Amino acid sequence: MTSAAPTDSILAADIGSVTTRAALLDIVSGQFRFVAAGEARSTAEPPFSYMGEGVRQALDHLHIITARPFMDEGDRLLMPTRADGAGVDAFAVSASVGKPLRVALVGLMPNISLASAERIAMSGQATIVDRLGLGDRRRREKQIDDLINAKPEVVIISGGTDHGSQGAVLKLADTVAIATRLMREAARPDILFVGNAVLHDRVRDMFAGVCDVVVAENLRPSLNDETIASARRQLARLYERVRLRAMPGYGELAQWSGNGVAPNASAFGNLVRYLSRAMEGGKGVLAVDVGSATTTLAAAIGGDGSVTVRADLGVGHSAAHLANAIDRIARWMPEATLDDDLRDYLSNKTLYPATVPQELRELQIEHALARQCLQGVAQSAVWPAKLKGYPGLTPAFDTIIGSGAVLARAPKPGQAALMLLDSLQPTGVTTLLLDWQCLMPALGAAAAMNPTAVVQALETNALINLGAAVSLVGEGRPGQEAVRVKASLPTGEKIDQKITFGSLEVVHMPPNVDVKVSIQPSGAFDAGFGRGASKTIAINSGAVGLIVDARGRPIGIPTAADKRYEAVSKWNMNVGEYGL
Amino acid sequence: MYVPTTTHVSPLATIRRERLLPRPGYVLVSDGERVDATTVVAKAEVTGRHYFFDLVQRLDAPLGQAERFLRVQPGTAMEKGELIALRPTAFGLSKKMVRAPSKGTMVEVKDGKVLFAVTHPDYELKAGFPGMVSSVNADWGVILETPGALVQGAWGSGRQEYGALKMLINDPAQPLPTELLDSSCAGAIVVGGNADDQILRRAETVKVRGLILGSMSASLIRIARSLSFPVLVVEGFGKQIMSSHAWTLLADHNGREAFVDARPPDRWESRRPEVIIPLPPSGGMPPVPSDGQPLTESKRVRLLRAPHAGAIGTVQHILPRTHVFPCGLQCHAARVEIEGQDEEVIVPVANLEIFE
Repeated sequence: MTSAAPTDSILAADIGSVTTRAALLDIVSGQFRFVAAGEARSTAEPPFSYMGEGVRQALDHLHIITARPFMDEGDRLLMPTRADGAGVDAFAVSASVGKPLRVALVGLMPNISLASAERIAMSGQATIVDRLGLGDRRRREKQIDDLINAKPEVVIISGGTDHGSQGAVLKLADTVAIATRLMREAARPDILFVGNAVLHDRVRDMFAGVCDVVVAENLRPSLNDETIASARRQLARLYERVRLRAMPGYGELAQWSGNGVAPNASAFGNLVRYLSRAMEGGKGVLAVDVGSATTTLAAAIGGDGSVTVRADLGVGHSAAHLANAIDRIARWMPEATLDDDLRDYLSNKTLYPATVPQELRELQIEHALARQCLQGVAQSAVWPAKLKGYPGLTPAFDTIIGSGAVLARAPKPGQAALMLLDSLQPTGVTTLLLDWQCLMPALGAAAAMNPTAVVQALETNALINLGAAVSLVGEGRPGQEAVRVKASLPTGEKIDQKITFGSLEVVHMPPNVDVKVSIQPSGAFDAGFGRGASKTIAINSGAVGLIVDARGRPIGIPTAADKRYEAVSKWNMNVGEYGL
Repeated sequence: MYVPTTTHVSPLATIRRERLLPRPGYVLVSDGERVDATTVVAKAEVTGRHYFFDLVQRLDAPLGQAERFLRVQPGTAMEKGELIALRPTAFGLSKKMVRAPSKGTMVEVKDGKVLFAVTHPDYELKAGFPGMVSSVNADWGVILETPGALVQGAWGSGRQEYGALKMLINDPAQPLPTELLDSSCAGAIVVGGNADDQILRRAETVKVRGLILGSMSASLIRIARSLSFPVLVVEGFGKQIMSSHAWTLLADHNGREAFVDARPPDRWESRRPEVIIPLPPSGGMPPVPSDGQPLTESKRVRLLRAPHAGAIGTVQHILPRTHVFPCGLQCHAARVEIEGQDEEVIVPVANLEIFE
């Protein structure tokens, strides 16, 4: 992406599997602010099969909200802004439409180059359809036939440290080359070579006239180093080229933006990287986006970031994929739920992904699905090396941002906070923010042309502060005091609250006030300052208040059903206010 | 403007469907030609497994010289047993040979290894239902057209069949009784309300040609996919009752031949599981079902979620502002009069599909 001229107003659109959103950012009192957003059903699928139609409908909605027209008489985007205020100065768009990219992985060692290649594949919207490595016990003919039948659209070939192995990499690449020659011309994949740099020319020659070869920096320049950024960028470009450009309507939107259509995951990741530079704290930013078809996690610290996409996890189109996790979903339900009922729910949700829950029980199932999607993506996450935390637990972050309709449309802000806490299980002190208009991917695309505008919009009103969470690490007996919280509110009211191990409590405060809070954990517990260490911190109470999570890490969910229902009901009531 | 999906349950429509090969091949019928359900409309060559033959080893030839013993050029199509390579041994007293293991193609030779591709019998694409070829896509297949009745469903197990419809019960709310699935159902497309695993297995035993259900448990998906006949679920998973519109339409055509396309829904190919009942032309062609219509007042709709899942109704009013539902969810909604219940309910527009 390239930088464009300074802009006074920006229209940022995101085309999701179910919903297309368009947000207007404009300068108010010298700062960029989020003005309003319009939305419509996405139209990349039949019967419209044209991405631009959904964007137009979302702009019609935005026009109704803002009374500001965006299209001219010829149904073209008005750009730049006219003297009468109609139109915008810049347009940015991201998309996550189409089937996941079918990717085959090739590498030498399963836990080194193949593992790195898998992390690259999971940084984009991809499904891994085949793996080929040195330890592969299949006959070579079978490897070739399997690769042909897997119908990959991209083959990522990794392996060989710089100045390291060549012969073994070339032999694996040759197997791929034979398979690609046997494929129909129109079905041949692109090759992304991310292995030993000295082999670039030989790999290009191997596939000359058969497949397009794109090279990126060696994923594993040495056994102990992993270089992902270059390969991730190339895969994002391939996703845009192979998938998005093939979508009817791409050309028009790319023309409007002048910058193409950004893949949703890379736009999301870019925005989180910008935010990690802009936000104070030093522990980093974690953002998650629970979609209908995919769940995305982006983590960044000081501008270094990673993105993990689970194209098989989502609360709509991908819901049926969660059928193998019924037990893990059911444990978040506050009452007995038959496995068959949950399976029926998941399969029906995949059939009708745009539908929404009307009844409390269905809302709770939907939120349980979101927890499972978030846990799944967190378990697959590649964390930036600079992040700190306890081994085996989610690293410590200053800020966690939740995005996606299931979080943003949660009836109570505490429900969104609870889904984030239950699934991501953060440690220490964390500010929980909600992308209430599901704009982060679109803003990520806009950030490529004007990062300042986007950061200002996010800092002012594009994100809702849910509150601060203090999450304790440590073990204790149920009922044992885990932490004492003291605060003086601006109203003069004093708070002095003891929280026991196993509980999840909200220290209630007036909304959105800045408060200094003294956190005094007992000796066995760490609130992010070291075991037993106390600290006075400045927080903003947000929409929910100060949430103290003393359930331990990982959360000890009771195994006995009656005790579990009791615990989950209490957590739901204390933070989520379900049914109130 | 909200544009929901549309489900068609239509007693008479012009039905046009693509019949396409999975890979390019050749079309055997012409524009305007009438075809039967069993007419092969297109064929494609199918390449099967590949084999490497190590000439150095098989011919006992010196490395670097094996290729001079080849008897065919790369790209040569071969019958089973034909010679690929032959090397006379010393003094010509005997020979070492490599023969084609089956019908196939000698693809290439590299580093003394022959790559051989086995050719399978051609893939044959049948029409599936009787109709007229309305257009031909030279390498891929045809579009067939017929007047007929159409019932679109929610899920399919993944097969397609053509056979006579057989209604086994009169009440869509009743589960299909196992004892009614007897030898009289062999070769028939059986219509029932709900089914369990015993019924699915029994249907396999008596060799039905297809099963159309109102709903079934999602726990039966794996079994349904393993059966040799298509299973089509009209409403969805769980215990949903087939709409009276779909049930009555199928019952009206009891005994008539129908095409069950139970391939799973594919949102990118605009494909829905469906039952097509071809009907003889009578006068002009009926209208083609249309998709992509906006939700407006007086539209007939189907309600997709609890507490009214499966109900059919008519939109009375689209609320100008968002509505808060009992679970706390706030979203755009419509007031819908449910058929047969004399009841009006508020439903999120996201939970409606147009039904016509």
